[in-house]
Amino acid sequence: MSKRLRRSMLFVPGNNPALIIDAAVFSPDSIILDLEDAVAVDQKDAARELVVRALQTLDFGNCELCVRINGRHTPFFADDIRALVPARPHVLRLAMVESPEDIIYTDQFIDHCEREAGLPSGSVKLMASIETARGVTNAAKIAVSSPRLIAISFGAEDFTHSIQSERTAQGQELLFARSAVVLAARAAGIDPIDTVYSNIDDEPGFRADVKAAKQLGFAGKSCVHPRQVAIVHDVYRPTSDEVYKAERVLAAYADALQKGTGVISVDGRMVDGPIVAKAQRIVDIARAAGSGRGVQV
Amino acid sequence: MIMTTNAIGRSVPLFVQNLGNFKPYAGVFATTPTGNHHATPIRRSPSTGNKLLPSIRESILASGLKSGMTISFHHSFRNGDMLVNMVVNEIASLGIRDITLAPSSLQSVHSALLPHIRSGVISAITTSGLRGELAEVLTRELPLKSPVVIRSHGGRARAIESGELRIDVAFLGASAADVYGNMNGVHGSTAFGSLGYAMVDAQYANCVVAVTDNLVPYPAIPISIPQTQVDYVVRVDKIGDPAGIMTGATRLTRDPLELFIAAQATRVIEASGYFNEGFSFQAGTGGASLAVAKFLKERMAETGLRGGFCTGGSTGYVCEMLHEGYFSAILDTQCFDLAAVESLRTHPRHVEMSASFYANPHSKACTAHITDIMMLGATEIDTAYNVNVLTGSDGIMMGASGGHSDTAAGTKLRLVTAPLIRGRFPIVVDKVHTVITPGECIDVLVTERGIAVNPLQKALAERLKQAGIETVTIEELQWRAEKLTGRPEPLPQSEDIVALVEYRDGTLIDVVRRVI
Amino acid sequence: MIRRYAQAGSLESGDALVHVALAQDEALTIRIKSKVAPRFLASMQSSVREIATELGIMSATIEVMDSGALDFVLRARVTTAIKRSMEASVDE
Repeated sequence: MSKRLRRSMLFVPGNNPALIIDAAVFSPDSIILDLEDAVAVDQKDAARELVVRALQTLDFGNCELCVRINGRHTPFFADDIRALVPARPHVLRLAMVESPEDIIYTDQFIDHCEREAGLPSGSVKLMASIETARGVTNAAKIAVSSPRLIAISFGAEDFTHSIQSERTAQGQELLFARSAVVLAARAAGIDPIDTVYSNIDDEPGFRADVKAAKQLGFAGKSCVHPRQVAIVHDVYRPTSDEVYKAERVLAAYADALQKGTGVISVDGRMVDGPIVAKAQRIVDIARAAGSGRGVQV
Repeated sequence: MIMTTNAIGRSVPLFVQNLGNFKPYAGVFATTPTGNHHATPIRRSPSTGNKLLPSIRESILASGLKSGMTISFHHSFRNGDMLVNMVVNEIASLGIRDITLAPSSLQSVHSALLPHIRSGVISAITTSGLRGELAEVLTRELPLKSPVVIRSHGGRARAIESGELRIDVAFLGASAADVYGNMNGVHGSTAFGSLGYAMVDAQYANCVVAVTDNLVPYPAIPISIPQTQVDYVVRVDKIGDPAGIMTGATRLTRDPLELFIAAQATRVIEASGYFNEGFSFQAGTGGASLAVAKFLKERMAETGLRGGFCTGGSTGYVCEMLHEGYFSAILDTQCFDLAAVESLRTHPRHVEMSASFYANPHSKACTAHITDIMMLGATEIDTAYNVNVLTGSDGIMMGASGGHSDTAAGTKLRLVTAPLIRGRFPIVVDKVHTVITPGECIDVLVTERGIAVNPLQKALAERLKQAGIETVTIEELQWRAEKLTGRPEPLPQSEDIVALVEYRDGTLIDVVRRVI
Repeated sequence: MIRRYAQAGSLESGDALVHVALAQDEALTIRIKSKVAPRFLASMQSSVREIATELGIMSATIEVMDSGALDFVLRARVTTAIKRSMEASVDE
C-alpha cells in the first residue's frame, strides 16, 4: 500500500507563466498553483485562466497538482472552483479554514461541479489551511469533516496575528498550534503540512525549521522557492541505518511470501502490515532521494 | 560558387572570390601541418630616442599602412574597447581603403564601424565573433567584398603563425606600456588582465603598434609583450571604458533553474571517471557553467580532492579556488572580471598564456589538448550533437566561435549545459543553423529536463548508469522540448553566404547564409 | 462582442501582453510582435484567431507583444483580454 509523499509543497504564483512551466523541474512532491495571495485582485481572472490551461496542457510528471483557491467569502471562490474542477487538479487548497462548515460547503460545491463536468464524485481532493486561533481550536473537527480532505496545513503568519502575538525565531508562540494541527491530521489519517519559511536566503535557518517540523510529526513543509525543495527532501531522507533496517524488513517479507510463512519476524520483533508499508515508504523515499530528484543544491 | 559536402554533411564552398581556395572539414584531426612559421621583417633597434609617436595617425603613417592591407587588434577590452573604432576612423580620414580587419573578436561597440564598411574603408573581416547591430547587418546584407571569415581562437593563432593570415599592422592596446613597447594588461585604470589574444599578433605581425593610456617608467613590468616585438608606441587619453571592459567580480547565478542544471552537471562530472586527484578544468564564465565550479568546490572540500590547472579564461570565483588551494595553477588567456585581473597581477601560479599556447592545434602543445573536464555553452545543439554558439534561433550572428571547438577537440570530458528551452526555442534541433563544434567532440548535454550522452561515449554512459544518473537520448530531449514549444517554422534565408566558418585547422566546417 | 479596450498578460519573459480594442472596420485584425519572431508567428496568429472565433468575436483589433510565451500562455492571455473587453465597463 503506497501513499503519496507530501514532503515538499512548492508554491508557484498562479499568474507567472515562466514559474509555472518550470515548477516540476525541481521535483517537489506537490505543486501549489496559487490563485490567492500571490495574485493581485485585478488579475484573478487572468491567473485562473492561465492555471486552468496549464493544468490541461503541461506534463507535471509525478508532482501532485494543487491549486490554492480564493477564500469562501471572496467574489472569486465560486468562479475558481467552477473553472478548475473540469481541469482536474488533484487537490484544491482552501485558505483560512476556521470550521468544518467551510469544508462541507466547499465539498458540496465541488461535488456539484464534478457532476456538471461528468467527473466521478470525489475526483478532486481538498486541503485545508488552518491559519487562525479559531481554526486551530476546530482542527480536530475540520480534519474529519470530509472524505475529500487529504491534508491540513498550518499557516503561521496569520495565526500569530490572530492570537495577537509576534513571531520569534524559536517559535514558542506556534508550538501548541503546530502540534494541534499535527494531532488533528494524524488522528484523522491525513497529512499535516507545516507553514512556509519566507527567508529564502537563510538556508541553515530553514533547515533547522524543517527538522523541527519533522520532529513534531509534520508530513511535509510548504516551500516558497525551489531552493527549499531540495533541503526539505534532504531532511526527510531516511538515514542509511533506517534504510538498512527497512530493506531487511522488506527482504523478510518477500521471503515469507515466497515460503508461505504466516508470521514474519526481524531481529526478534514481529513485522506486520503497517511495518512493511512503512519500510516500503522508507526505501521509496531513499530511492527517490538517491536518484537525484531532491538532491541538495 | 562551387560547393562540396564536408565530413559532417554541410555544404561549403571550395573557392571564394577575394579569399581563395578552401578545403572542406574532414575530421577533428584530419589536417597534418607542413611548412614553417611566417617570418617577419628584421628591424633595427633604435639607438637614440624611443618609439613613442604623438598620435594614432602618426603611427599609421609610420607603419606604412596602405590600401589593401590587413590590420589586427585583440578583444580583451571587450565591449569597453575604443581602440578599433579610433584606428579605423583615422585610417578612413587618411584616405586608406580596402582594409582587411582581423581582430581576435568584435563586440557590439564596434557597430560604429558600419559606415566605414559601407564606404569601403573596410572590405573584409575575419574574427571569432560578432555582436549587436554590426552582426545583424553582416548577417542580413553583404556590404563587404567577401564573406566574413569566422575563426576559433586556436584557428586564428594557427592562421597567423603559418602566414595564412598575414597581419600588416597590429594595433595592440595595453593598460600599461613603456616608451620602448614593453606592455601588460594588469596595471592602470583600464586594466583588463591577460594579453593572451595579443601575443600571437605581436610575434607575427609585420608591424606592431602598442597603444596605451598609461605610459609607465621603463621597464613596464610585468612584460607580457616584449619591446623586441614592438615597432611604435602611442599614448592616447583613453583606451577603453572600464565599465564596458569588465565588472568587479562575476557573481554566481542565483537562478534556481541554472543552479539545478549545475547540480546535475556536477553529478555527471563526479560519476564520469575524470574527477580525480589533479584533474584539470575549464569553467564556464557565467550561469550554470560557472556554478558548477561552486558545486565542485563543495565536493572537493568534503573529500579532500585537489585539482590541477584551470585553463581558458579566468573569473574571480575560479581564482579564489586557486588561492584556497583547490587548484594548483591557472593558465589564462582572458580575465573576465577585476578580481581575476588582481589575481593575475599578484598570484605566482596564475599566469598568462597566448591564444596559441591555449588552443593552436599546430603548436607543439596546447592546453586545449591537455585538459580533463570542460564546461561548454550552446545556442543550439542538434541530434548529432553538433553545437552552435555563433548564430541565434533567428539565424543572426550574435556570439563567437571562441575556444569552443578548440577545447572540445582535445579535452577529455566535454559537457554542454543549457536550458532545454530558451525564450520559446528548443535548444535541441534537427540540424543546427551553424556548426561550430562537430558532434563527435561533445560528450554530454545537461539540461533541466534531462541529460543526454553522445552514443559515441558508451563507457561514459555506462559509468553514469552505474551511478544512478538517468539519461535519455537527445531525440527524447528534443521531443520533450517540442511538446512544450511546438516546432518552430523554418528560417527564411537566401542562398547568399555572409560568413564562412573555419574549423581550427583552416578547413570549412560550415557557412552562414544571409537571413531575409 | 467587444465593448471596450482591455489588456491582459505582461512583458515578462515567457508571457505575452495582449491588447484588445474595438475594430475600426468590421474585420478581425491580429498583429503580433515577438522577440522570438518570425519562427512562431504563423502558429501564434492561428492560435489568436482560434480563440477569438471560439469566443464569438468577429470584429476586433488584437495586438500581441510576445516575450516567448508558450501556446497555452498566449491562449490564456488572449482569452482573458477578450473576456475583459466584453465586460460592461464600471460606469455603464
